[in-house]
Amino acid sequence: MTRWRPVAGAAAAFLALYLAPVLLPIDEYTHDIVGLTFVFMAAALAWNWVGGYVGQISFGHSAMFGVGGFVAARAMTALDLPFVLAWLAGGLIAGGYALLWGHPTLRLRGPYFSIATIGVGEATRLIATYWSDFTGGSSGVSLPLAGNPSKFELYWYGLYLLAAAVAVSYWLRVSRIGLGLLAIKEDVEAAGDLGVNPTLYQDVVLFLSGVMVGVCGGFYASYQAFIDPQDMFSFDRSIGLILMAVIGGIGTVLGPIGGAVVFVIIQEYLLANYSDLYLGLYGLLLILIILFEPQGLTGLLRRLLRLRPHRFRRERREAAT
Amino acid sequence: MGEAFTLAVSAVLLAGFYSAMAYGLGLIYGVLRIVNLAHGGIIMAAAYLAWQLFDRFAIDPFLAIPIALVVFFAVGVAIYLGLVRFIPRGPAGGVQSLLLLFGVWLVIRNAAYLLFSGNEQVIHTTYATSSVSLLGGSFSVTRVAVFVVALVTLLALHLLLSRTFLGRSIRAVAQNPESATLVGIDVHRVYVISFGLGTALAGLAGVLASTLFAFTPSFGASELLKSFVIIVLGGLGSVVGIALGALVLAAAEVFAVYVVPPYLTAAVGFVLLVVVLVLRPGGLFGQRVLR
Amino acid sequence: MSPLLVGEAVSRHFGGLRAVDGVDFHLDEGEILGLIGPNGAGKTTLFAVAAGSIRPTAGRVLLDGKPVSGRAAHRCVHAGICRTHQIVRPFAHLTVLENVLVGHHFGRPVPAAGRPAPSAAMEILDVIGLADRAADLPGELTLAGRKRLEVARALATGPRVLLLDEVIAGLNPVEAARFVDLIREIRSRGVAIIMIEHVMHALMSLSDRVVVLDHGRKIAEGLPDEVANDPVVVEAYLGGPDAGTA
Repeated sequence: MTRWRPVAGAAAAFLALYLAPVLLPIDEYTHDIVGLTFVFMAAALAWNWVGGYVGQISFGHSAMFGVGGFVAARAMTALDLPFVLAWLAGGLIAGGYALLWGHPTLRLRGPYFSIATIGVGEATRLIATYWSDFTGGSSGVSLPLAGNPSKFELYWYGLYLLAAAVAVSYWLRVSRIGLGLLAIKEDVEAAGDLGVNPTLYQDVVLFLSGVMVGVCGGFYASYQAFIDPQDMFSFDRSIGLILMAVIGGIGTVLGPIGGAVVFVIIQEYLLANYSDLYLGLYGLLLILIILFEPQGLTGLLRRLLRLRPHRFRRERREAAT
Repeated sequence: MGEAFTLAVSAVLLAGFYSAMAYGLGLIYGVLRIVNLAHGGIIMAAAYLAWQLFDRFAIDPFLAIPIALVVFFAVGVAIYLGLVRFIPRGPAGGVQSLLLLFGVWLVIRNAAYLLFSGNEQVIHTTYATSSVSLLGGSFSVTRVAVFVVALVTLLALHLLLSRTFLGRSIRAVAQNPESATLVGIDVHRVYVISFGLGTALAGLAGVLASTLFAFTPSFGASELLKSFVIIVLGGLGSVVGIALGALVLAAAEVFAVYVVPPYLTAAVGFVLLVVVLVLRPGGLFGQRVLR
Repeated sequence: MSPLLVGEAVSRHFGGLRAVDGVDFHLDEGEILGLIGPNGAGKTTLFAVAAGSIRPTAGRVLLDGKPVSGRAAHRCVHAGICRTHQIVRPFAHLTVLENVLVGHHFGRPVPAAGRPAPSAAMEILDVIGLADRAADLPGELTLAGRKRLEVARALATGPRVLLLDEVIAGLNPVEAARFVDLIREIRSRGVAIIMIEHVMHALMSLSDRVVVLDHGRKIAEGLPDEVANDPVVVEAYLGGPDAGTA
C-alpha cells in the first residue's frame, strides 16, 4: 500500500497547483515566474535521470534544450503546427539528437563521458550559431503572436510538463528499468555480467531525458516568444540544470524540484541586484554542497527529519519480507 | 615551400604548446584519478596574471613563467588541501570531485570577471608581430618561442619523473597507491605535490596562451577539452605519449581547414575525442587509461 | 550427445603475453568441469572470454553449436552463460534481494514468465542460504555470505552454464564444506558448471573431469585421479616457475 502514498501526494500537489492561480490572489509576475519554474523543474528532473540515476554527469544538456526550442519555433513559424505539437516535435528531435551523440559516448564512464559532453555542448552551440538559416544566427527567431499561448496560459502547460517529468522520475526509480539503472550506476561491468544491457538502458534514459529537455526548450521558446542560439545553447544553461539537480539532491527522485525553486529564487531576487556575482555564487554553492551535503536539500531534509537514507528501498525491503 | 609543409610546421609548433597544456591535467588524473575541471580556469587565470605583470610591471610574459609556476603551484596545493582532500576516493568521489572542481572553475571565472571585466585582453609585446624564417617558411617569433619553452618543460618533466626520487614516488603512486604506501612513500604528500605540479603546469600553459591568443574570463573551456583529448589520445604513461597526442590533435586542427569551414575547427578536437574513445578506448599510443 | 559448451582453439593475447593460447575444451550437459593451473595460467582469462567480458584473439566458444564468444557480456548471459568473479563485486547500495533481482530481471532475453520476481528471487536465496539476509546490504554479510550472494545473483539469471571463479577460496573449512554441497545442489538443478578453484580437495571431489592449464596452454585433461597423478601436472605445480615452458 505504501506505493500509493506518493502517488496520492503527487495528485494532491498537482490539484493544488492547478487551482492556485484561480483561488489565490497571485500577481502576474509571480504567476509567470512559477510557470517557468515548473519547466525548469521538469528539465532538472530530466537531467537527473542521466546525471543522478545512471551517474553520468552531462555538461551538454543545453544542446537538447536548444534543439527542442529551435525545432519547435521553426515548426510554428514555417509549418504552422499548433504549439503543443511543435513542442513535441522539438522534443522528439532533441531526443534523437541526444541519441546521436549519446550512443557512442555513453559507453564511456565518469569523467570521460562528462568531458565529452562539454564538447557536445560547445560543438552544438558553434554549429547552431553559424547555421543562421535555421537558427537566425545572432538575430534569432521570433515566434508568431497568433497561435502562441500567453504566459498566463503557459502556467498550466508548465504544470503538465512537470507532472509528466515527476511521473517518469518515479517510474524510472521503481520499475524494472530503475533496478537496472541502479546496477549500472553501481558497477557497469558487474551489471553486464548479470545480463543488464548497459548501452540499451543508458540510451533509453538519455533519449527520454533529451525529449523532456527538448520539450522544455519548446516551452521556453513559446514563453519568451523570441529565442537566439547564444542564449538557448549557452554553457550556462547546462550549468543551470546541473545546479538545480545538485542543490536539490543528485540522484534523488524529487530533489531537483526543490533545487529548481532555490535556483529561480537566487536568479530572480538575489542576482537581479548582484548580477556580477552570477557564476561565482553558483560555484560557491556547488563547492559547499559537495563538501558538506552531497545529497543537497534532500540530504539536509533527511538529516533534519532524522530519516534513514534510501527510504524507498526500505519500503521495498518491507514489501519483500 | 608548399602550403602543406607550412601547415605541418604550424602543427608541430602548436603541438608543443598543446603538450605543455595537457601535461598538468594528465599528471593530476594519472596520480589522483581526478579530472581537474578547474584546469581551464587556471589557464585563464594565469593568462590574466601574465597580462597584469606585463601591463603594470612591464615583465615580459616569458620571464613571468617562473612567477606563474610558483604562484600556481601554491594555488594547486591550496585547492588540494582546502577542498579536494575531503572528497572520498572511488566512483562516488569521481562525480563529487568533478562537480567540486567545476565549482572552483566557476568561482575563478567570476573572480576574473569582477577584477578585470569581461573585455577581451591581448598582450602586445614588441615582438608580437615579428616573424622568423624557419625551414623555408615564415613563422611568428612568439610561436617559435612558445614551442621552445614547451619543449624544455617536457624535457624537464621527463627528467624529474624518471631521475629523481620525487618523480619515482609520483610514478609509483600513479601505478598503485597501496603498494607505494607499503614501500614507505608518503602518498598524501605525493598527492599534494602532484596537484600543485599539475596546477603549476596549467599556469605555465596559461602564460604561454596569453602570448598567442586574446582571452576573456570564459577562456579555457576549449583548452580543457583539448587537454583531455590529448591525454586520451596519448595515454598517461609518458611524456612521449602526451607529445604524440598533442601532435595528432594539432595536425587534425591545422589540416581541418581543408575539409570544414573555419568556425568548425573548434569542434575537431571533440570529434577526434569521440572517434578515438569509441575505436581505441585505451588511447592511441598509451596503455589503458579507462577506469 | 554433442557437448553443451565447446571452446575451439581459444586464444587471448595481451600484447606479447599469450594469456590463453589455443585451448580446446568442452563441457557436457549436467557436468562439473574443474579448471586448475598455477597462478597466471590463464584460467580467469579463459572465463572472461567464455562469458563475453573480453574478445578472444583467435578461436571461438560455442554454446549449443552457436558462437557466443566476442559478444557483449549481457548477450552471453542471455544465451545462458553466467560467471562469478573471484573478487566479489556486489552492488553495495542495493539489498541482497535487489542484487539477486538484478540477475533475475535482466538475465533472460525476455523476462521470466509466471510468478512475480521477488518470490522467485527469494526462492534462490533460500537455496543459497541467504533468505534471512534478504533485506541487508551486502556490506553487512561475511565474506562467505558475499560469495554466496555472488553465486545467487548468477544463478538468478537462469544459466545453463555457470562459471565459478574461486568461490571456495578464502572460506573456513566449515563454510567450504557447505559450499561444496551447494555446488552439488546447483548441478542437480540442471546447471552445468566450470569451476576454477585453488582448494584442491573441494575441486577434486566435485569435478567429473579436470582440465589443467599452464602458461595459457592445456597440459592435461582427464578424471580427477588421473590428472592428480599426471607427472606433467605435478611438475607444472612443483617444478618451479619455468617448468611448464621447458
